[in-house]
Amino acid sequence: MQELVLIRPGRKVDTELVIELDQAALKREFEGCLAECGTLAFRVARSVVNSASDAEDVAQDAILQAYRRFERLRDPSKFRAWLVRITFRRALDHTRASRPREQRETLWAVAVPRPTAEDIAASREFRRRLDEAMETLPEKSRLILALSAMDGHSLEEVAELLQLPVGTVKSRLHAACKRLAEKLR
Amino acid sequence: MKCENYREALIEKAASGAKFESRLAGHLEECAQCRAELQHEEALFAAIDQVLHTKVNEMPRDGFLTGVQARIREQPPSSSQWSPVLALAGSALALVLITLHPWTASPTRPVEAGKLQKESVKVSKVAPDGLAREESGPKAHNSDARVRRPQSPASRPKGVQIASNELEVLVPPDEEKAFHQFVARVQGQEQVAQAVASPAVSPVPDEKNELSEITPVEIARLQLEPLALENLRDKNKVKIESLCNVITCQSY
Repeated sequence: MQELVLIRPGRKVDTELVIELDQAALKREFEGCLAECGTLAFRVARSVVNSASDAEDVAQDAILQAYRRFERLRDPSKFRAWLVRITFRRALDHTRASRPREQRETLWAVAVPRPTAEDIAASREFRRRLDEAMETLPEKSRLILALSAMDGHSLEEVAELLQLPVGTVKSRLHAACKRLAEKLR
Repeated sequence: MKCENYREALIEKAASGAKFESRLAGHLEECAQCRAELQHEEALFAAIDQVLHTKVNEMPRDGFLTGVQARIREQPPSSSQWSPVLALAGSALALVLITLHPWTASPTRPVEAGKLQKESVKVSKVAPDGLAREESGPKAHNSDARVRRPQSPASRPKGVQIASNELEVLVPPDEEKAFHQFVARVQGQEQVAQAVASPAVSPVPDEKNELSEITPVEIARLQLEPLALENLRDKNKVKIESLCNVITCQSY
């Protein structure tokens, strides 16, 4: 005689199996989102962090943090914006934690001959000063600057990502550029 | 002095790439210093754009996403699990709530407390003389509250069903997992789940198929009666005496 097991399918069973299935579905969904937004996380981190390898670490940590909280994200269409915010916040924390205590010299005070845009951009010193100038900007402006500079991000898309009016994004971007230039002049 | 008045306009022009104002255009035509200044400002803004663009459009190394995915597979999502701190805080809160609950803290609700006592004090005690008798009152409740007696069908609250109305399915043990998987998948689709898990169950069950109320098995009260030793002794006495006579005869 064959042995039979009595089960109740109508009852909501919290078995390990159901949990496993839920987790597998969650992983699949997250990995789908990650394929689209993984590079974006790295780029956001790179806009704040000075080295590419540090940016990768930051982006990886941010993605893992997002994964742990993925269940709480009610609207999957906001995943990009959500990941951008998490990564940016994490990158700022990383920069603050690793910032050297000693004050750096303010070399931009020294008078220099008038170079071209390429000369300026190629200068390692200029990049260092730009990084320092970026750190003095408000966080909102930094994020707008970084997202606007990314390929394929129009002002409308940046506004949508940050859930701000386009006019606000535009004015903040303009003010941030002017402020950076003022620091670098 | 005159050039300083145009400085803001120059910066604005370099930053936004807007059209020249007529006044500024006229000044630039006659002022070489301001033209150089404008060029410098434009170069500065262009350099900022260029550096930022290069920096934020850098690509991660090839194995970046694969590495992240590998780390994700290593760990389950922890959002649904209780962190130790939260679990501890939750337990503490529950303990405090239970302690502060009016029913458990003090007899602030005498009516309910009295009802509870009345319901629970009827206990049977077996007296030394072997007769069971019921006592009532707080005395009995305090002294032997753990003694349980079977309820008579009349005193049992109506509507208590032993059997469940839930749908039950008998499956072979090796198909149990597959069945759970199926149910778990279907649970996301309400209509299919309803069709599969509740097939043609009418809301009002007919009398023939209605699950009958099963009463628990009742065990009658045990009564210990002393053995009738005297009768036993009389019977055995004859046997013992005759046995002694046989032994006595044999010894002689």
